[in-house]
Amino acid sequence: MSQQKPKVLQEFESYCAEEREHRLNAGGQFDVELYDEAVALAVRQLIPLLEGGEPA
Amino acid sequence: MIITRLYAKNVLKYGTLLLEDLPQKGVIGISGPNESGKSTIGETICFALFGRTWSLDEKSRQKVIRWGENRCLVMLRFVAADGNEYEITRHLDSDGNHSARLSIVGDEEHITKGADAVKLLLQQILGIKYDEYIESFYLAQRELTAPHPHSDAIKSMAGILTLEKSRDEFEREIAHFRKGMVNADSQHIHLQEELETLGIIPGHLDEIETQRAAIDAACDACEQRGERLQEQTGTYLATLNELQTAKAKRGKARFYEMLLLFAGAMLAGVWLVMTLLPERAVSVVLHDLLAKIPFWSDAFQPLLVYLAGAFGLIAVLLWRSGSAAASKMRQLESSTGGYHQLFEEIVDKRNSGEDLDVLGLADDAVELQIDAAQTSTLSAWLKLHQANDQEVQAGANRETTWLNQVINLQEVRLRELDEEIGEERERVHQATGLQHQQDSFQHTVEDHSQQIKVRALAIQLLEGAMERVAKKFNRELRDGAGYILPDLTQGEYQHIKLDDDLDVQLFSAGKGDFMEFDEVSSGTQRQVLLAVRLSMSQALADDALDGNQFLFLDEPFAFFDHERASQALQSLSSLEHLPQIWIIAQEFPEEAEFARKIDCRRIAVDLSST
Repeated sequence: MSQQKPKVLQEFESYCAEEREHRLNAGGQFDVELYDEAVALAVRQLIPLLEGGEPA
Repeated sequence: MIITRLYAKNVLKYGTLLLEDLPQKGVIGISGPNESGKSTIGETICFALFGRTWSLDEKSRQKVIRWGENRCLVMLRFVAADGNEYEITRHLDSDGNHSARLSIVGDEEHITKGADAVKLLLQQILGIKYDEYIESFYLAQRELTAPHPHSDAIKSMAGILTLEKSRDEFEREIAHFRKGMVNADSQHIHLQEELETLGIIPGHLDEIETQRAAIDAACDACEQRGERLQEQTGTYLATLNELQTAKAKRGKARFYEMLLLFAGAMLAGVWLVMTLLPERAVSVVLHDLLAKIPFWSDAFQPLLVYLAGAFGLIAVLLWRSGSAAASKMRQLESSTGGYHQLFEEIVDKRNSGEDLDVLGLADDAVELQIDAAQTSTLSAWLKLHQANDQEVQAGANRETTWLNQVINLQEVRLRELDEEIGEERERVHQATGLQHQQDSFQHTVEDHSQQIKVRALAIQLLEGAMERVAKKFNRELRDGAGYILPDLTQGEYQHIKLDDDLDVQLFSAGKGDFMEFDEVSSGTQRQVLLAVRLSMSQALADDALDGNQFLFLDEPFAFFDHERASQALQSLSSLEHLPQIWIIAQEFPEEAEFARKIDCRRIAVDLSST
């Protein structure tokens, strides 16, 4: 599935970027730092899974 | 992946199977009666690719070897998405020895060999595994059912499985962190119980250390007062003797001074009367009295005035001596006044109770009780320098004894406090250690809580992305199925609705409304399911493989009537992303056109199509 892997990651990152924008615009309490940390953590875990390995 | 050549020896029904120069585009039709080896072609392709077939897994794959033979061979060539044409060669013998080799067509050297290595490399080249192939691009005979949206293969092909695995991993991590938090919390509570058992009172150590310092200072002060009293008592007693001597000396000097002055005045008066008034009766009487003095002669009369002068002179000397003694007395009295002040100070301190207050004791805690009147009298006498040595010494001894008794009490208390402070320090040390451990566990709880927050949010995002990917996949599936369905149903059903679980509803042109899947005939149900399956294969070929893919359909038209089968065959030749479609049927409509037509015969052992 090597050609599919980047698509999933791109899909996830695209969703997170849109969701981030949405939450920022929605006002109210939004912990940007926590959000970015969660996204980075998920991406770090997805990469080895996409490469066929075990999660980091 | 598009198949270009298939060669097999001793696989299932066939002694030799050779399909060469296969068309890369169009429908490859395989027809023949029952048990003529149609499905064997699909199973041979599957065996070549994955080392197993739809009906024979790895444990029973030796059954792939043709009955009565010891070994089999299969060689499959295909064009992959990377544009290369590969050839996979697989050997299997009846002892279970299984080998495989993968090479690029035209190259003498193989890329890799060994069943496991070939399996891994093929996964990368093909982009799919066996499960995914079976659920997407291989439709086994009579296996036409709705796709399972929750199957790992479909999720994997749609890209959801990776996200789901990531979510599951985060859930495991959250469970791990929660467990860690519970453990840390439990440890925290346990340490709190230990701390409560220790019963440390905040500030108590400072309090007893301050108390000890105050008692120590009071003890030092008492010792200093006692030492000063003893020292100055000795000095005072020595000075007192000098004072008394000076007093005696001054008294004597005054006495003799007055006596000589009187005597000198008398002699001067006698001389004056006898010299100036010799005829007076008093002079005669004085003359007679002097004559009675043995060896007295009138010639001695002038001596009277000299004698008076001598007496006067001696009186002056005595006056000077008395004055010197008086001066010394004042000096000594001045110096001994300090002792009185010291005594008063010691008595005042004792009366103030300060030395016992610091111990929290009352006056009667001291064995020696000093009579206040006696002390007052002594103080008054000291002030007037009238106290004698014994009285002074007795008074000093009383105060010193009292001070020593107080010092003893203070020292006892100091020893008690030293012990108490030592124990308290040890307890505080233990408590500090426990608190550090508590802080560490508290830090763990806070850290784990943060880690859980981050992972919970990551799960939320992964699920959001999964929902989006699933919806996108379903939309593609619905659109594709909606495009194919009219061709498969001769326009009877125009639209299809698929929910997230891939449950189907159909729009009937005749009824002008959506119908539940169960409401249509079983033949139409299979047509709908075939449309859904084809659409899914298209969507997966587009999303997951990013390239063209062959499709193998084993008797998909089993329940189609002649007309619908004919129209379905036509529509299959134009499916996007699926240019090469293998279709098996007992017989095809006469008007059907194929890129390659393969006829199977029941009695044939070998099959060749070039």
